[in-house]
Amino acid sequence: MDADNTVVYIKVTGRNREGFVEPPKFYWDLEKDQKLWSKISHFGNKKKSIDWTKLSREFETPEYFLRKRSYRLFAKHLRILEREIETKTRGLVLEQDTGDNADQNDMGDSGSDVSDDEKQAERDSVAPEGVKNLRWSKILNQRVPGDPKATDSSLSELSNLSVSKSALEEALLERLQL
Amino acid sequence: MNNSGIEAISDNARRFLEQTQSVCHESNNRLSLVKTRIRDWQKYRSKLRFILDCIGEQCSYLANVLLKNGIGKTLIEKQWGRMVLVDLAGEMEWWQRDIQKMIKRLDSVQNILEKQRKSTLGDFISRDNSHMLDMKLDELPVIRKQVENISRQYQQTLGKVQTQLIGIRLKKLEEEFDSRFGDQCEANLKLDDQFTVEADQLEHELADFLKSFTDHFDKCSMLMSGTLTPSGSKSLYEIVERDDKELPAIDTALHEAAKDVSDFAKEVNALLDAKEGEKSHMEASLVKILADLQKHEEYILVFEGISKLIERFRNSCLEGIHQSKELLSFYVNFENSYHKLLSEVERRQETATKMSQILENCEAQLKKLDAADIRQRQVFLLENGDFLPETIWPNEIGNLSSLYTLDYSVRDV
Amino acid sequence: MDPFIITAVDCNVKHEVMAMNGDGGRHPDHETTAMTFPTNVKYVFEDDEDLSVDHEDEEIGNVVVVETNANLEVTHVELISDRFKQLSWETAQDDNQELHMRVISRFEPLLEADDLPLEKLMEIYQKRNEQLNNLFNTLSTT
Repeated sequence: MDADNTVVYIKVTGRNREGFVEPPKFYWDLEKDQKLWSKISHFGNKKKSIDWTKLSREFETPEYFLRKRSYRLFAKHLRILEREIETKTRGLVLEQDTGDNADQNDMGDSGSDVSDDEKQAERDSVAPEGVKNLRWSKILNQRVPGDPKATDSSLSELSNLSVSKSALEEALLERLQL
Repeated sequence: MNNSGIEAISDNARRFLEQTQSVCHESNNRLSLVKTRIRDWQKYRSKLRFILDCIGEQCSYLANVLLKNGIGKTLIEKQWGRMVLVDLAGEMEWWQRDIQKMIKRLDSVQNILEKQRKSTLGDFISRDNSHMLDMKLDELPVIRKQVENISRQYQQTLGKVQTQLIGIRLKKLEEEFDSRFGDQCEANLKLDDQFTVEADQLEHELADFLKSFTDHFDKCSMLMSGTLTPSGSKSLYEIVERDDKELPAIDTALHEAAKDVSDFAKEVNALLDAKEGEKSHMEASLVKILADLQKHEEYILVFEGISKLIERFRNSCLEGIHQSKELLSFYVNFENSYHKLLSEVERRQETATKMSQILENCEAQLKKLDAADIRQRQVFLLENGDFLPETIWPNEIGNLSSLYTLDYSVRDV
Repeated sequence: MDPFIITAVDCNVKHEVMAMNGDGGRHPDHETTAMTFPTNVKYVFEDDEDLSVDHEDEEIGNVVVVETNANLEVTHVELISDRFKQLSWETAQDDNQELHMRVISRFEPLLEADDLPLEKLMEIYQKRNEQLNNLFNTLSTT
């Protein structure tokens, strides 16, 4: 529904025209709307005020429309930002509440939205355990001193620690940005 | 021309004008109600046409996109038929064969290190999980049967949608629409064209009557105002006097026109009443087809559920393949390590031999040294023994035993 | 008096399907192609001559009639179109003369849907069934 295929009649009851001049027919679409947003949302970087007359010429669109549309776009943009901040703040509070358990929960999650890579990683970590159980001789399972595998458990503990540490840092950084 | 005559004509004009206004007002209201009803009927039909078009598209989406493409082609043919029942089955058979071949091989390699009993490398591995894929392969016929069942169900559903929903129900609905609500239906042609034109004509006719009476009244008012020249007044009076005589006839014509309007409104309203009575049947048919479309959501959810089950089976098969690969690699490593163990045994045996040789050499040299030592002691004692008291080198002066003792062993491996 | 601004959002699922396949650019007011701007607006005042609807433009397929009171508050909105049907309308909270319409365009074949997974196809089907039921429910008030 645009200026080419749609006509809008505004029937004003109980009011005379009183010199009201109808704005000319002009064309506006999403492409122009996006262009307008990219222009006005970057104005603050270099210029102090918006030259509406110039914009009007450029977009071949009356000034009143550009002004109102810009106001609406800014208002909606602000609302989106507000919502984002709200979600982030709520997320932080939740994160603090769940605390240390967060990592464990992530590991145990086998929901349908786990990606293929994650599934593969899961298999990799589980499968050797399965194979180990298949071994008959205990000697074959015995670890030789100096074998790098022997340090597995302590290494994974370390990496777990560093993971939770970086998650903490991330949360803190995010909070600082807010 | 006298004033009382003008007054009488003017009064007459006012009376007729007031009557006409009232008649026209009433008739116009009737006409405008009729026109609104016709417009509402057109809007109803337009929306009905719109909904029918959307239902048609939804039926075709159900048959072609959801059923034929989403379930028939992608799910049954590609994912289940090809990926699970052919590709995955083939892969599982391949890995199962490989693992059996490997076990057979381990069974054929004698463990030469165990002397007391005859054993093979196969005795040292667990066979609990070696048939893991066989178990999955055994489940395949069940899955195949399920897929066959669901394919049959799919065919039935598709058939039902194509023949009953699209072929019969939707077609019937379209026919019902065309015959009762379509633009080409006789009643609607009448309402859209003939009656609409007629309403406009009647409106114009009424406006003409009103205009005639208003004009006549205005002329009378002008005469009454006395602003005209005598000659002007005279000629206008003549016109007004003539028109005044025609007023009753025009009034009769007006009432006939009003009656026409009333008859017209009755006819249109009766037709619209009849047409609107047909709405309920159409709407009931619509409700049925909408319910039918909604019912198919449940059917498709069944397919979705089975799809999830088969997906789970597929994942467990992939897991089995993964474990079998690990197991096979473990068996290969086991055999390699066994062969390396044989070299290790050989290496240790060689080391033991070397150690024995070193010890034997050492013993021979010690024996030689010891004999020379004893000989020299004896010569010494012979030459000096008589002159030396025993206590000068307590316990040792006359001791002729060997200086060394040697006790060693090298283990047989 | 300021001129009116009218926006119309098409609730047809096709826009969501396009968004699933394409890249929805960041924009505060629309992430899909659903929003349109009918900017050909004509005004009819009390003292105007009878409204003459010019049929010069053959392309015009949709007519929107907006009725307002003397304070320019919108009292009624009607969409006359074969391709679109109106679902609802509202004016901006802070501007009486900014009219937002929710409309729905006629369902059409979704060529982009072929590559979507069954869950998504089902979602589209369910949503369209819901829309059909809503449309049907407005039929009796037409």
